[in-house]
Amino acid sequence: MSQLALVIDLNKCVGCHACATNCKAWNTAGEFGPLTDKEPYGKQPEGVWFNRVQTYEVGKYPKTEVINFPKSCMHCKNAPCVEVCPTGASYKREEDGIVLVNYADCIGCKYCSWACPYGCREFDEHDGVMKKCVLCVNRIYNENLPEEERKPACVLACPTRARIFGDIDDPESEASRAIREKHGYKLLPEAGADPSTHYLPQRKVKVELDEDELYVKPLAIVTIEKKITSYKEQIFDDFMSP
Amino acid sequence: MRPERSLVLLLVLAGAGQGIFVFLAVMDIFVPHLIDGVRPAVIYSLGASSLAFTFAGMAASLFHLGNPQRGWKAVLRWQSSWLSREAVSMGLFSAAAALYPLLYFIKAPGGIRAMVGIAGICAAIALYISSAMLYARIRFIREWSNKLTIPNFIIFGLTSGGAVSYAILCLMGINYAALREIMIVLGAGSLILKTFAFIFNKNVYVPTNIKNALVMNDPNIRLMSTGTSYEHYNTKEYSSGLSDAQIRSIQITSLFLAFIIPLILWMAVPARPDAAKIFAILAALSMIAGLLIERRLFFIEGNHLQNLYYSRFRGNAARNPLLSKAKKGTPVPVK
Repeated sequence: MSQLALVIDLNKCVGCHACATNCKAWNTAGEFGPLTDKEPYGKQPEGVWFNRVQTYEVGKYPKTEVINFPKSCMHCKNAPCVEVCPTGASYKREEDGIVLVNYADCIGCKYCSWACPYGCREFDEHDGVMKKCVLCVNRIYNENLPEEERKPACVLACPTRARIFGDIDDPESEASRAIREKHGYKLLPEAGADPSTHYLPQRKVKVELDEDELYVKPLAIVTIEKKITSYKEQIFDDFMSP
Repeated sequence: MRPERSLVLLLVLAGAGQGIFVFLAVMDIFVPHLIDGVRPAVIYSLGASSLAFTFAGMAASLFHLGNPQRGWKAVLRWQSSWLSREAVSMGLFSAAAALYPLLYFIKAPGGIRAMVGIAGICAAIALYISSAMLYARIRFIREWSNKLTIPNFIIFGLTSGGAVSYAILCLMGINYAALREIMIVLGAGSLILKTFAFIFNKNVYVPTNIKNALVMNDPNIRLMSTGTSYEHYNTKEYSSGLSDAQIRSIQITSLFLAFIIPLILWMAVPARPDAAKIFAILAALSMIAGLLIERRLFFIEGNHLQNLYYSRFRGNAARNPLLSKAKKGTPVPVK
């Protein structure tokens, strides 16, 4: 038994939406597409996305942090969406734990989306079936692709490598190590779905420089110095933050 | 949740159809002396209206499906899915409801008809329970997943079925005092149950919040962007977009139309048959119209846990001032 999953490092995510757009580009053209849009170039564009990035502000001004929060199907171990499906169109693969929808059997009753506590399923009104993240199952086993590209499209697109893909049941995988070493956690543990996707927390990075260290002036330090003169002991998330 | 017209129609019409059949079968099998002399008229009229209501509900439910042409596949997973069980019991019930008047028409022995009738009653009860469990099973909506849902579906269904049966019988000039008393008891029961549901929904507490949804230990979490410039499935399907004041007015309308007015009308039914006719028909119309609003309310009041992620969770979660100001149909303001 293995359970493939994503581990998303909120400390690295900059909210660029590259994962979401690359996901849509790959999947709308692949076996699980098209991810149809309504008025894509109009005033009120709507459409199906497997992956969405939300942005939250945490804390009170001026001590606030921005959390960019990518959310796609969690491929839960105890998936509540699978057991409620009346046709068996929604199923969890035994070999790798990926939750998929068989479009040919889906009647579009939307019951599975009601049973999902995370809101990770999206109904395609054009095709009349429920669609969701497939963990790029058509990429990760695709022998036509070079070995290093056999990963989900979102993982490949991430410029800050905030997304790790791997088998979380294998204690030696990169994903399991990241969960273990960087305090990975699950969303809504009380919902009882046992999601496989883990998040790594955003960490507070303190920059503490003594006076004499400020005489060394590489480019990065110059920008820090400017801020330090106005806010002593300012907390930074990391150097990428504005 | 967004109230979907097709599901509201399915629940109200099929529920009434089952109720009519239960009344017909109980009268015909267990208290046969009640309808001696008018048996054919009662069986044909109530049987036909039960079928008409049930099939209208089933037809409406097809509009809910994205792919109604393969709707038959919904019976496949009856071991695990309550929706599937609903589809199976719907099939069994409509078969029994269609067979029952037919058996009378071909003058089949009374024993066979009684067996089909009892099977139909069992299927109707199974259908009420599986329809209710379909909603009660979703534990992320506390307004649905509680002990009141199953009695709610059974009593409201039986009351609306009884109201229609009583109106039809009065229309044919058959005014049973016993039936009127049963309707008063059922109507009062519905009213009490609905009051309990109001109290439950008003005090519902969901032991989670956006802190748990994002697993961040800070009470000040504000949604800045949903990541899209307009709404999408998850922002539309799980919230009705109605304000608290609008919801309250819907609650009051449904309470009067579906429960209080019919109850008063049944209690005030005069002895003169032609006047009783008007009272019974008005009560049935008010009940059906009120239940349509009540079932719509059932969806509107459902508050799904995933609304936490979009700051649309009503009640004990922090609200996003940007989103609560947004009117229905206008784009979500994005900072």
